[in-house]
Amino acid sequence: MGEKCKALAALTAAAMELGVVGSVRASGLEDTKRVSYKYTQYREADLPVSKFHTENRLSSRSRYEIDIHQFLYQGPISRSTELKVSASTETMSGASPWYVARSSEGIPLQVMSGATISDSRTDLELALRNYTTATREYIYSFSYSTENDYSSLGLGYGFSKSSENQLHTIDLMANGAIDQVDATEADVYDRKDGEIKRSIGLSFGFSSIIHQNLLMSSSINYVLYSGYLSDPYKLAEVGEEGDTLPDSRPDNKNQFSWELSARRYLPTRDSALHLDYRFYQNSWEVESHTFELGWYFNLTSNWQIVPKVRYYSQTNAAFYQLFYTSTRADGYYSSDYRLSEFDAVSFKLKVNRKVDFGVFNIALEQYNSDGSHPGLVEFNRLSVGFALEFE
Amino acid sequence: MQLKCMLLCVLVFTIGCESVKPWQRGNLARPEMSFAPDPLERALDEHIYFSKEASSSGSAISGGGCGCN
Amino acid sequence: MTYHEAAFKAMGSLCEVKLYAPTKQMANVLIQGVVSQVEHLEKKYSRFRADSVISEINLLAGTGTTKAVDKETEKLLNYAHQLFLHSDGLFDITSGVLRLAWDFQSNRLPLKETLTETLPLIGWHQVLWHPPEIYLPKPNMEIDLGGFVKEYAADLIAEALINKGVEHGLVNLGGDLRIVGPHPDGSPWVVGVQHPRIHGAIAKVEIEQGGFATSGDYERFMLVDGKRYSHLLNPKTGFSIQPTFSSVSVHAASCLVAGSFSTIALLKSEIDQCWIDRSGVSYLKVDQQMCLSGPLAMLGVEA
Repeated sequence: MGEKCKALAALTAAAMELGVVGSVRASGLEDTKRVSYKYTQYREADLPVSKFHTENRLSSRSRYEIDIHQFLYQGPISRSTELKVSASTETMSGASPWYVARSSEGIPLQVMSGATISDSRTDLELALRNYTTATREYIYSFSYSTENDYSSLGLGYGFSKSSENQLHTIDLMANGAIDQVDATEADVYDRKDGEIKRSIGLSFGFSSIIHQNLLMSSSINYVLYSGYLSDPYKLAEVGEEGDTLPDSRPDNKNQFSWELSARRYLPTRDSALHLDYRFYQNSWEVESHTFELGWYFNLTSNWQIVPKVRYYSQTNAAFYQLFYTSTRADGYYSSDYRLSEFDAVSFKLKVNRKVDFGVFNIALEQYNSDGSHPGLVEFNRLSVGFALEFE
Repeated sequence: MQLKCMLLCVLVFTIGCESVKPWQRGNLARPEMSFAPDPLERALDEHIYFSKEASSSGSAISGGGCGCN
Repeated sequence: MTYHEAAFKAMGSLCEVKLYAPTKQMANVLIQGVVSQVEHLEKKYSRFRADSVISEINLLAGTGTTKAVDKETEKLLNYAHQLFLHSDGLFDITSGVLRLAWDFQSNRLPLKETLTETLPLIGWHQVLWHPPEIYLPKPNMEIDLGGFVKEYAADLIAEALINKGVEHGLVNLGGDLRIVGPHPDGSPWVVGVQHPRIHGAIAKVEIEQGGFATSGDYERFMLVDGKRYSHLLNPKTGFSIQPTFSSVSVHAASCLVAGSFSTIALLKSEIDQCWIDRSGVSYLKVDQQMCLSGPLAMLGVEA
């Protein structure tokens, strides 16, 4: 490079720092720091009387009530590195589904645990994004979460590369986690204690600017789980006598998912349409489809409303049954509603109020699921939060 | 099947995107055009749906925690 | 999509915005945003305003107190540092004090003694610049970002318009131009280059994107004994530079870089006529005989 071209390179670089060209980029380090907070409460609906098994006197129809506080800080720590710290705490109390029993007429009814369960969960995640060049970045992440009976430690590493014209980006991400399950009152209920679960995930993503109002991204993800994958608090009814056995699942699970997202801006309506689709499949033969459609509509320059609808549909796991008429050769039993075949629909409405220094938001969600399992859940969620930006 | 989907998708992506000039990217830079405009909402969505359904998203690190019901 | 334009006075020059917007109302909102953005930058960086960042720094000169500047000012001062380095010290934001010696209204050359007193106050290398702390070590030293703040403003405004969804338009702050994007049909903007000696354009060029700026010896000058002394002063000697070219126009990705290169090209031309040829930017030079040259394509020449 000649002496004179050096001047052009140096001045252009200093000018870029000032944001005088190409402030619009697919990604890149921003100067602003952002602090966000969100409070959420969600309430699972009481189990309907018609689906509730009253035999156990201690059991309760009142399901979980959960309160969550989330914090997020994002900001540069050097010219080329951004730090993201997120933390959340969650407190929950209520009864949870225990196992499914048959009424005298043979109708499946949900047996619930007592209402005394209460727990709290805290998690912390740190992520560093390092931009080595304008088109290349590396991501390092660490996460830890803990609750009374469960702890999880995870590490992640990712790489992202954009084309020179910033139209296309590929992402590669690898991560792994080790979780430990220490069921409460393990001795009393003969529950598992000190069980380990491992997971390793790999994902590959591709995103593109299709035209001036359309962005698309797609990713494929594999995750391999091994170790204790059962639910220590659940039982399954086995045989005609109403005997129960602990929930027991294979100690391996491989999952594959394909995700597709589109973001379309509609200039005449000053709004953005979000469409997300996920196909999911695992080695327990659960297959699911998730569709989510959101409309970000700018009412004025300061007010934005976001209605969203989500549809989810899954098939049941191969070894799942509401109850088992006889023992299984493989020894797997689970009547967890999460492994049953069901559909779920959720509606969400969010309002964003922009101010000079950030945004305030409030959101409501209603989630309903429909299937043959008596313990399928319905819940309402309310969130209020803000995100503040500063130099 | 999955691979075909993926390849088709990549193919669709690369058609006709060559002409988006820097000055035409203003709309794309709007916050509501982000893949996750509210990261806290996104994180909680994943956590909650994961606790109610058999599926989970790509990242193995979704914070763990099975005890939600 | 309809065409809208507005002109206003700011930063001591005539400014204009031209853009295409869906409605008149939206255009007005956008233009209002532009005007307030220019006013904000003028307020922040004008050396004529006592409450500007520049005045705050200058007032502390020689007092022993440093001034910590905000992020934006820090980046502008870093830019000024690069300008100083890559112009071999000719583009120096501390050279403003020479106006005490040079009175272009008087048609008289400055006294040698005045220059001798002024020169020690000049030199970016003397400034203690430890971002974000700045300190001018001698009383009466001054900095002035007037040499590139207008170009910077043009870029910022264009970027803000792009972020608001504008695709077609241009920003012109007293001859420092930044294109937002070409006309809706894809055709470039036609920009006139000022004739250095008479009123009107000497050439027209077509610009589709990026920044375009011109520096000339005609902006402020005086004639003494038939010799032309321009406002382009050598910060090392304090004398007026006798540029080989009467103007240099540069086209670059940003107006800021275009403006810097046109200014450095003129300052350097006294000793290195070919500096701009090897700089890697696209330019148009007008020499003292009003002959045009350079790789920038021209549409036509007007007399």
